[in-house]
Amino acid sequence: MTKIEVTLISGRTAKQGIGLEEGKPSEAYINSVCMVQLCPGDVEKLGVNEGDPVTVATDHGSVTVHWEGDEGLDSGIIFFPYGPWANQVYASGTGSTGMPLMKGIPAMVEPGGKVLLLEEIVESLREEG
Amino acid sequence: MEKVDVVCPFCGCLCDDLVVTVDGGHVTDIKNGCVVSRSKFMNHGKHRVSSATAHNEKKNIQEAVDAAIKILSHSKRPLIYGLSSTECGAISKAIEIAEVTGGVVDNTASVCHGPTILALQQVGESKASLGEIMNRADMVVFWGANPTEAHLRHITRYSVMPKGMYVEGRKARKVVVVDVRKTRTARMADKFIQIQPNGDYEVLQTMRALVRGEEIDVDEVAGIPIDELKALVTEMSEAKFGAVFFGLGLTQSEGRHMNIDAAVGLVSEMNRKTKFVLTPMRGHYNVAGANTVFTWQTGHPYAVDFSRGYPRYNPGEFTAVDLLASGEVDAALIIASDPAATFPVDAAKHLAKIPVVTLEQKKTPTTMLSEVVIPVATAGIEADGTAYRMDGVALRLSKLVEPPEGVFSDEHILDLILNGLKEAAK
Amino acid sequence: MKDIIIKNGYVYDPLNGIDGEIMDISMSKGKIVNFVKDAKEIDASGKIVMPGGVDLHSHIAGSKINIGRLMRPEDHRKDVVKKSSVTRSGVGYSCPSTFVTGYRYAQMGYTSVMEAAMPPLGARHVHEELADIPIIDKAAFTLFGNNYFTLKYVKEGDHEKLKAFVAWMLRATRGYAVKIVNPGGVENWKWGRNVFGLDGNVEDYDITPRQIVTGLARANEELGLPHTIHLHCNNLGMPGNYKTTIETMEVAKAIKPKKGRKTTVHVVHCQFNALAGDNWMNVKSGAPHIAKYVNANDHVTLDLGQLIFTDTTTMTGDGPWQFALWNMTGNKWVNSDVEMEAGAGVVPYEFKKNNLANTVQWGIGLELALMIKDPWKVYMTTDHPNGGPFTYYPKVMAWLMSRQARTDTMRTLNKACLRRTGLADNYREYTFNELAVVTRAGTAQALGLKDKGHLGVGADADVAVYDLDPTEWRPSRYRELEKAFAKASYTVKGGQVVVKDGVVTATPLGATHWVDAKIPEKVEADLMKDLERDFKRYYTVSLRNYPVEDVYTPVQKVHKAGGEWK
Repeated sequence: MTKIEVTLISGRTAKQGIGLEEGKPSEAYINSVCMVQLCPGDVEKLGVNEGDPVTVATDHGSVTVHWEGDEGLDSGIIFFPYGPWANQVYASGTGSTGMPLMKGIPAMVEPGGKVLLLEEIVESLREEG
Repeated sequence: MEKVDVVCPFCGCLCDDLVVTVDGGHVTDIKNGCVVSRSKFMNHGKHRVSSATAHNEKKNIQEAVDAAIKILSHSKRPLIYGLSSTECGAISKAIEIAEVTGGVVDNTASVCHGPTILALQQVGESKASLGEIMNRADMVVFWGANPTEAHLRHITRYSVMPKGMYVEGRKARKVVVVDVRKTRTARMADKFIQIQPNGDYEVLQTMRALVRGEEIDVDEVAGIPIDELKALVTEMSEAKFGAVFFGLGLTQSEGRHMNIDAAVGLVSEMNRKTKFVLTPMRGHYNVAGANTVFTWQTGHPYAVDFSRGYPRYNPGEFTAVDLLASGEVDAALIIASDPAATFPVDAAKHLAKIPVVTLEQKKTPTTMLSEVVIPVATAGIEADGTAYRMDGVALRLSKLVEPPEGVFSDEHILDLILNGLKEAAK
Repeated sequence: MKDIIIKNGYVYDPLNGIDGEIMDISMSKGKIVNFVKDAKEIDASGKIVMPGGVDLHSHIAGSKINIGRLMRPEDHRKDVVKKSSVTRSGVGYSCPSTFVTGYRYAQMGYTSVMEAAMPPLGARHVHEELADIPIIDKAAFTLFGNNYFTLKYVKEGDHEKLKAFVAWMLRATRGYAVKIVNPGGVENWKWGRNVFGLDGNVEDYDITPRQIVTGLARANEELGLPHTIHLHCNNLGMPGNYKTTIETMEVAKAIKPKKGRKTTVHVVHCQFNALAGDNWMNVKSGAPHIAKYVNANDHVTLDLGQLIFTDTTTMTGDGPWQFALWNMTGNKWVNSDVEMEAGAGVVPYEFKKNNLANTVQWGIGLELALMIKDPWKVYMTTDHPNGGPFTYYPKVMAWLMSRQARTDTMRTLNKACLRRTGLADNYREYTFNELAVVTRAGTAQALGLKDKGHLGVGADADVAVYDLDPTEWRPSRYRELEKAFAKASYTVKGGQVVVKDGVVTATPLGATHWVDAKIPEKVEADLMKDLERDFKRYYTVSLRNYPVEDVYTPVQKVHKAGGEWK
């Protein structure tokens, strides 16, 4: 079980768009955003199999999601679609610009962890700290 | 019944050539739209908020509106936020609500192309409407933007594939993609330049220097060899008409608005050699409209505070993420947006602590945290109004079908809230 | 709404030959009438009564002014406007927000304002903003001079189609007049180039600006449109350009005006196009040449574009000019080209007293006004906000009416530069009658707005009362004049009091005026074939979605036209 150091970038995907227009409670949406894209080389380094959860952690927070391979990514870069799971790891400091940093963030990825449901992730927002 | 030339209310492309079939008061088919558009039209009835609620109890619309009025009139520092996925009439009411309550009104540009606006306020922007690019551009650069995932028909309808007045079509255009990873857009390009994350500012400034004939004394910038940058600059100078489309790759990485400042500088400089324009790829279908209405009514495009009785603007102070993360806000009115799902966790958590009134069509993380939820009609399908495309062209949204029973438009509900607040203020 | 009678004021109503007579003005149901019943009485004794101001050239609504607003948060901070029980909040100065625009014009006694440049694709946006400007009546002028269809029909020599297109486009955009900006130049700017005179080459069409102006001016008159073509000449801002301006006026001389008027062209913000000399170092006033021409010809009207020494925002449809201004100043620059139609550019600019060229320009605007003998030919504007914010109008009025006001300003300017204009030797002072002409009667007449700019029976009840006794006033008291015209004692709009003692008391929505010119069916059918084909090929919006829908002009006044057809 290896931890790897990566740079995290975020963004939109067509699947996320289709899903959110169906509705955020839909499977299509949840599957499209409760996941992170990894390059095949990094998948090997992590030693994860299809269906295994991975945990992404930044200085600010950590979250567990599913993963998908993407050949367009270089080793050391992960892509996290916008959504309630991704937001767990972003800091809200904006440097007085109003815009938080949501791309190019140093992060760690390791296998394992428990994937929360949409309701659980939302409930977790009610917790202190 | 088929309705033609329907305007699509999803992304900043605001395509206006959809053909929508309506049968028995329901949308049964759509032609010409992209897959996301199809999802929006065909699924607009799914997962709808079935009833207004207040404090977890089902209410009728008027009761929910009354609960909303109570929350907002008792609030010392209300935030009104969202507004990019609704039409301009609603946006106008939201601004007035902020003025009446002395609160802050902000729209989603705050976390999208706000930095682009900040750059414009520093150095400007050289732009053109999408048809200019369709008709003339023989060089198209996508920088930190991925239209094949986010603006699905942009390439086929506007920027690359079409035959324009002076351009024969795909073959007559050179397409370059600059991104940190090889996206689907990169794969269809003639040239892909991979850039290191957070390297855009240095690369853009380097290119500006190269355009001016300066010598650069390093071999590479942000992982890109200088020779490659020199070649790109030469290609750009030799184009008859170049267009740079940029996205959140520039606005959301380190440097934020300074990245755009540099991009604007490069394009302005190119105008001394040839013709070049740049266009931000606005995400939601009416975020440009939100900025436009805000600006003509208050002078400012987003993050507008009314606590002194007149509009004040200060990104970083009056922007939604900052206000929520600092805990300054004690109530919120959210319209056409889902900040609980899109904001960094600290800001989203504050939404759980304060009373939130949300106007939404479907169940979302924000509605799940809200004190009051009011179901509203889907603009562009169940309610008409105006929306502004990414390049600022305004088009009329249609009402194709009736909203669900007892559900009204955003504008109507906001008007009820506004009138109630004016009464309460007396 | 109660009837109103304004009693005992000194009335200036040039269109009806009234020059400072003490009379009562009566109004009922929004119109000027002879008799009223149970009227509210307004005591105007010792005060001036004029028709409400009519500003025929200003930038108040649409993407250009909105870009100005967007670009200049620093300008807004200088001038914040708190809400009141009657008025919304906003910002002022050079790029005021929409609510404040309406309030401030009304506070100066203005009741009608024309948006000078509307790109057709941006018409919906213009009308949305106009609907958010309270009190004043308004209209917008549609841009034609660089439009694909204009250029195409001029090239093909198809005059009937050109006319049909003008009529159709005015209707589609709910426009009031034909606006032309740097004809041909803005089209060349789409490739980064320009034209440099009436016989320059409009590249992709092989036609000249001369042909464009001729074609549109002819179409304008043959359609019987209420206003003449509204023209921003080629070579704006280039020393020596007065020659182009006079040449352009000559082009319009050959056009037969519509029945009932002599004019065929209105030249806008003429100051910027009245430069002599070869470059910015030796620039001097071309106003005497222009004045000589205008004094000898009856087919031209013009407005000043008077410069104010302040930090303002330039914005025109002249893309290449704005690019040049960026290169000159390094100030932030927004350019905005509109497919198939037009362009625009916005650059903040400060007119400074120690800037020698600005001094000359300041002199030129006033020289034009003072050397042109007939006030019915020359109108007071600042090309807001290009020359300065419209809130400076009272200052311009003072300069026109008081030699001392001019002298006091000239004392602070470089004398050597002033010598490049004839202003120091000009002692003319406008009378109140002339002032009324250049700010309301003349402008209304030029616009063909028959119910505006005068106080005869049947006119719209748009009236301004200014707290100044014209029999006691002397030009040395110009500061009092400025004060009186900055804050009207009363402004009445459509028979309703909207301003009292400079404070807005009511905010009704004014009407949007536009022209509906008829086209014979056969010609329209031919035109539609062209439009359908070319929209599909070259536009990114469908023809069906293009024309402005009725919902965008909630209060409107439609002016019919149609004129002669073969």
